[in-house]
Amino acid sequence: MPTIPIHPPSTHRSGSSALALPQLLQTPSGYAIVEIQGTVNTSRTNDNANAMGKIVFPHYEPGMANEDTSWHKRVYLYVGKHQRLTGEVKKLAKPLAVIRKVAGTGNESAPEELEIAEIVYWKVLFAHRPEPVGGE
Amino acid sequence: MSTQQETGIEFSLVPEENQQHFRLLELPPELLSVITADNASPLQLKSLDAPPSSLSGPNVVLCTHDKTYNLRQVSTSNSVFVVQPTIPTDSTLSTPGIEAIAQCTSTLELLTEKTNVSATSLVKAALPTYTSTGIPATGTRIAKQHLFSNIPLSEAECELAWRDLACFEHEGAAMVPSDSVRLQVWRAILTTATAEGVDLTDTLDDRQVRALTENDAEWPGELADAVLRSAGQGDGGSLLLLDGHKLALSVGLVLLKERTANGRNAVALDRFEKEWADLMPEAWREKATIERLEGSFGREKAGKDITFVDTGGSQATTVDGGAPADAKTLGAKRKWHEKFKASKKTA
Repeated sequence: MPTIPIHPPSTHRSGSSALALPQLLQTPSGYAIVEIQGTVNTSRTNDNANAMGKIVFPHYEPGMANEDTSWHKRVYLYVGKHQRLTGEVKKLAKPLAVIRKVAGTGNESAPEELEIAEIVYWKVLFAHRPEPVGGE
Repeated sequence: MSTQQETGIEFSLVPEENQQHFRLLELPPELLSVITADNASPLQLKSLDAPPSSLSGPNVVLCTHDKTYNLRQVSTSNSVFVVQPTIPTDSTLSTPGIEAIAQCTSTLELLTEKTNVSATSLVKAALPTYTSTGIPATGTRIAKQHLFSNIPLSEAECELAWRDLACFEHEGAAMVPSDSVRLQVWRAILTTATAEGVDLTDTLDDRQVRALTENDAEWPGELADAVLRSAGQGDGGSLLLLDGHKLALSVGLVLLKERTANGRNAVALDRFEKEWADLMPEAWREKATIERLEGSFGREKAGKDITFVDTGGSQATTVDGGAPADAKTLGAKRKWHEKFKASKKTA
């Protein structure tokens, strides 16, 4: 098997500018990691995306300093109207490289090349079972 | 709560068939600093064409410029999503959102233990040998670059083995010289040095290197250059300074292998040491002592005779295969619940 190069992350990488997540979790490319204990079953609703729920950082306020970790301990994921998953923001013991395939340079000895699209240092982890919550 | 629900971030899931494929790789600090450095060079995924034994499993390694790491794929039962902010299709709908564009069922981890593959034995095994009869007529021609891309070790480790073995590339074909050819070439270099008054223990410039490696086309110039540089310090450059210890070691080892026909015969120790010293520049004669080859020779006839003992390649194979490795994996398998417990805590 030939050698497959893995290119380091581009310093010019940029992604969608929609700044949905708290600043700490934002990365230049826009990629972040969300982990849910267990499996997610979806029934297909439309071609684009299946809405899963809403993520809320109850103790987070925009403008909080990155060093302020007080809001990390609680993140909610509301699924439908009556269920809620509780999670937290966790710093990864070892950062993760998000690797994807990129088109090779056309060189026949390296038909496939990889690229580190992003380096992620934090994840949002939902490790608890869903709890019932009252609807509106 | 309900007010917070309204301000929340929409989280959606891209249908499986439209998901992208990502791999997650854990980055220990040293690897992180390599890829975040300015002008970082690409990492390389390499694999061995034919693993040395069936036990070793998938043999894929990750290489930086000078280091090699074994990889392990660790599966997770959790749903790990790579998410990205959604691009609002309609600017009036300003609800911020993220969507999961990929699900990763496993993570690649680097194993800290050192790979036990020896670059020297791999390079040697892959290359045709240049013997006194000249360029091998048969066998496949491989270029140096192609050779390196098929050895599951980092560039720097391959380069080191290449240099230690005095490998050379002649007309696009890489070759490794046999021990007797290496000795013959070294002897010629030594003779030329004496005749031309070149001090081999001093810094050599380009002109001197050319003078030393010139020959009447008895062998390719690249070969003589490789033999001379195999004992060089550092990474070449325009000036070459030979390392006395390295030279003594390589000349001694090659001579021992040649004289004992790779350990089949024994030679008298005093005669061997004399011949070895004769192959060293005058100022470095006393470096030719048998203690330098510790581990590579065995004594016979109450220490009067010595023979060559191969440690390079054979050691790697006994670590790779054999019973001890087998027992270890079995033991590890039985303790799966302990492993699981540890991963559960960290998750």
